[in-house]
Amino acid sequence: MNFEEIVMPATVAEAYEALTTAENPVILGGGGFLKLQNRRVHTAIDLSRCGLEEVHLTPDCIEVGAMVTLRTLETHPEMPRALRTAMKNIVGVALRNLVTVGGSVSGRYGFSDVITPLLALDAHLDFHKKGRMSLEAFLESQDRTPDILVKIRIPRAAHSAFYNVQLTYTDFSMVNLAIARNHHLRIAVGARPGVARLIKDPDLRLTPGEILEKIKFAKDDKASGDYRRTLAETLLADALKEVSQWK
Amino acid sequence: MEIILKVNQKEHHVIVDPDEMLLDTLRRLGYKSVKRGCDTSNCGICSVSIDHKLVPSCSYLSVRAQGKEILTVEGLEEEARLIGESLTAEGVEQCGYCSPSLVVAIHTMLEELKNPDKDEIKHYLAGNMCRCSGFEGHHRAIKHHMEVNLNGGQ
Repeated sequence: MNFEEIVMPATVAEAYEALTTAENPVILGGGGFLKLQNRRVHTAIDLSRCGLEEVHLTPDCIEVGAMVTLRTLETHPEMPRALRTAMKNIVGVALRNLVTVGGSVSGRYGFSDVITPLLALDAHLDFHKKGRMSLEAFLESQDRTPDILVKIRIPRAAHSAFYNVQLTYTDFSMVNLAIARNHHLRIAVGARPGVARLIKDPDLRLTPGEILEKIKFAKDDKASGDYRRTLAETLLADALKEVSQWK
Repeated sequence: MEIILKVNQKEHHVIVDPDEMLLDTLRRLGYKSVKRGCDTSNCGICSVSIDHKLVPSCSYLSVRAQGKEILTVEGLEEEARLIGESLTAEGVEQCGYCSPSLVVAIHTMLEELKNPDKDEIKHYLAGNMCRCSGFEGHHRAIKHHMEVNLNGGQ
């Protein structure tokens, strides 16, 4: 991506003002994936000086600023296990020090190893103008009105886990799966290769294949849809074995 | 736009494009140890330390680096020499293209993890590609560096 000018606002309100008034704007999170896109925009709005790099702990949730890096998610001792595990194999430490959780979520990237655990964990998103919405609703929404993601609220799940298959140690996932239980069991399946989808409170008497029956898998240059489905069923079988040991 | 970059404790006043990446600015300033590899943040060859964190300079905007402490291998001096000797002794130093970023990565790793074991070293350096070696030599060299140079031969 190339751009003609960059603005570096000090507050989210200023960033939103720039977003609504600048010519052909784009919001910069970490910028790691945007950099790879063959795009030319006029104004880049850099959120790195808006104070969105903090993690706040409350009794029932973890509030993560949109500019918190994947490396912080990986190393922060309070992060749910599914999220920490998912971060570990995303390319390398250097990239994880660059890429932000807000950028990863806002992009609705199908390959994302960030969205899948957050979806299973029932994360909610706080936007500057639209207010709060669940990640599930955000992923299904067709509303593309420009807004700025400020923070992500992650409930403190009692148990969670993340599984994925990669061709190589640092490659994108061919398929990924996260499972979490707080009051309810939630399973998210991503890298289908479409963006992650959620299964709530599955009937655990069903087989993994039956639980995943309504999830669509498709082909890309990494794997066929059928192969992905087989992998996802295997990952889910492993996950359900783990769930059976959760107390 | 004019920015001030602090590289290896030295300030540079430099004019950059808004979308210029730090890799290009550093090389323009003469820090030729910073190499271009994949240019997609995947190989780690361009890694530098910014405020004690390893980042891919190919994807880090120069304007964002203003006010931060940038460290390249040129700023490590004696530590770079010692790590380099360990790498050479284990036969890791072959084409040398990845070595500057690897030395910076080892430096940031040892700042962050005080006494990493082999698995932690492997995990931390997974994003630093070397096309000459099989990475086992890296582990031996780092272990040697930690034992001889950091722990006084323990």
